[in-house]
Amino acid sequence: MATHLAPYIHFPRNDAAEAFAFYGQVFGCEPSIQRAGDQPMPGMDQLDPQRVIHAQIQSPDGVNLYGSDDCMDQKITPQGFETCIMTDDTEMAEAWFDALAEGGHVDMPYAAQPWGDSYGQVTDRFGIRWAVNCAGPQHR
Amino acid sequence: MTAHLAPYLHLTDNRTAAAFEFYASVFGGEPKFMRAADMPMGEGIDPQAVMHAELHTPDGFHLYGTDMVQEGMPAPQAELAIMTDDAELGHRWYKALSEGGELFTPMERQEWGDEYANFADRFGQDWAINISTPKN
Repeated sequence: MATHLAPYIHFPRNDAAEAFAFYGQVFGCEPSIQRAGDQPMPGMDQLDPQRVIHAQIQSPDGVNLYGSDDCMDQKITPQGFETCIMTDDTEMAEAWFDALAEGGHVDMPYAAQPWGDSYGQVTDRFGIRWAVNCAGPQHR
Repeated sequence: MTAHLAPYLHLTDNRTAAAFEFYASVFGGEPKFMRAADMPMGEGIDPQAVMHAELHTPDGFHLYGTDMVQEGMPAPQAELAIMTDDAELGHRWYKALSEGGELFTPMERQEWGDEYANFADRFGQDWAINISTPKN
């Protein structure tokens, strides 16, 4: 049985392809991008064939993320959540945080926190909020 | 090394505890709550407010949440996707999660060959469940 849960982000500016290319670089994996024109389906024939109807990354480190362009034209800004990475690998955590912040905005610098871990928050260049938490020695 | 990516939900109106109890009843697992009273930085906050909640389920799901929201922050606009190849589990979760919520796409076979449903649960959280069909 293979089951997992992950956020599915709908990009209101229809830049899912660029976003997943970026996330593929950050996490070191090949994004999969399906466009409306790749797989014609009833009900989707009105869509621009370039629209991304499904994108995903599944990194070797276990980072799974899904997304698409705004195919329903809902124009809803993703908000009220963070895409959160929990790890115990200090080097990876810092590298991911720095890579995600490039061209984006650091909301809370990555640093040691009162709860014993290192943590930071960033809004990436696509407007998606991320949190990176790296377990401190007593939490490993 | 271990790493995982998971949604961290900011739930308005202090509904985190109720929501995580509900998700635990659906998926199994024991929700963990850290309340303001338990934490050094909780001063000046309702001591019962959930600063941090987490649920790790037997099927390997990770969910995080908090009652801490910024002024005027709306309910989370993120869809949580469950991808599975276990039809029985997929249907059971669909039934339990959608109860008292709002169906957008009822669970049915889709053009891409899988069964899929899309709905909001009773807390207003959007979910998608995709049950993949074995490809021969």
